[in-house]
Amino acid sequence: MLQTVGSGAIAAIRVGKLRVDAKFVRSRFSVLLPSANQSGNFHGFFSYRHSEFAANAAEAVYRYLTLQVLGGRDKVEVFYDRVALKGGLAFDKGFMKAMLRSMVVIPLITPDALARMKREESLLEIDHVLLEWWLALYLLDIPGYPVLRIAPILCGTVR
Amino acid sequence: MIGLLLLPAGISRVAQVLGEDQVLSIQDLFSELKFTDFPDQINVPTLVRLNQFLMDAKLPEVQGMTVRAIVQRMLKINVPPGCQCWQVYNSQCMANVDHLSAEQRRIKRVLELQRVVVNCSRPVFGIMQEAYQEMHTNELAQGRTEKAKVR
Repeated sequence: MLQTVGSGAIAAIRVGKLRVDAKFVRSRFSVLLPSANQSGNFHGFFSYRHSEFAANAAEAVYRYLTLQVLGGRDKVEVFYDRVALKGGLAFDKGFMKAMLRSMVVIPLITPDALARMKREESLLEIDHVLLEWWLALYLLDIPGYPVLRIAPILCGTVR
Repeated sequence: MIGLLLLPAGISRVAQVLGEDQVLSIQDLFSELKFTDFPDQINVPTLVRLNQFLMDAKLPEVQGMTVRAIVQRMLKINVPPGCQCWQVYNSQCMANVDHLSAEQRRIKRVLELQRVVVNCSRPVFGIMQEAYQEMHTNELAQGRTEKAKVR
């Protein structure tokens, strides 16, 4: 059985009777663990409408990407709100600040995402996905900002 | 339930298998996609929020853009050469299934999905690598310019 030992920052992990120091685990298996991302810069940023399908898809791509290494030295850092956003922060401010520090924006274009944008009544409220797309397109045009590419992923529907 | 993600590079398909017995059609997304369905109006609350954020970040404010224009621009990014938009490209991808029986189509889709799972996410990583190299090239160039200025 796997248990964590210590409150707050995890000090050790208990596997059955064996107690393993967390520092050792982090150094030995860092490539397999989600990054703590101390710098706050991201190589990728997921933009998606929250639905079960889109969240699962984003997570699958996130898991793949965060195991990769760029230029032989930098572990890929991806902004995925479920992992990166801490509770208590203004949600939209949190993701917009993250996008200012992201290199590739990856919008998941799903029927759900588009359906809401089609509705005229949604013009009366803030649409977070539209906000992300708009900011991404804006930053793409500003020289000197890290957003260098947008890589849309088109997601089909299920029938 | 099966979901299929299609990436801009065409061969670059990504799948997320969520269950069984359902066949996905990416066509559904594109057959229904008409830019004229999107409002040719600005989402004002979103614009206000965005400009508020940009002002706090000391960036120039964004000009109004209609929802239709945003969607159009987003969907025309990285479109393969010779195609007007994704809709055209994807209908070409699905063009050669008409002569197949229902069973053959089903098998074709299953096989395609397997390939898609294998290829999951690689193209996004490729784009990321390109951007990463560009970023370092820019940084190097900037470093050289600053050195030259100091001299």
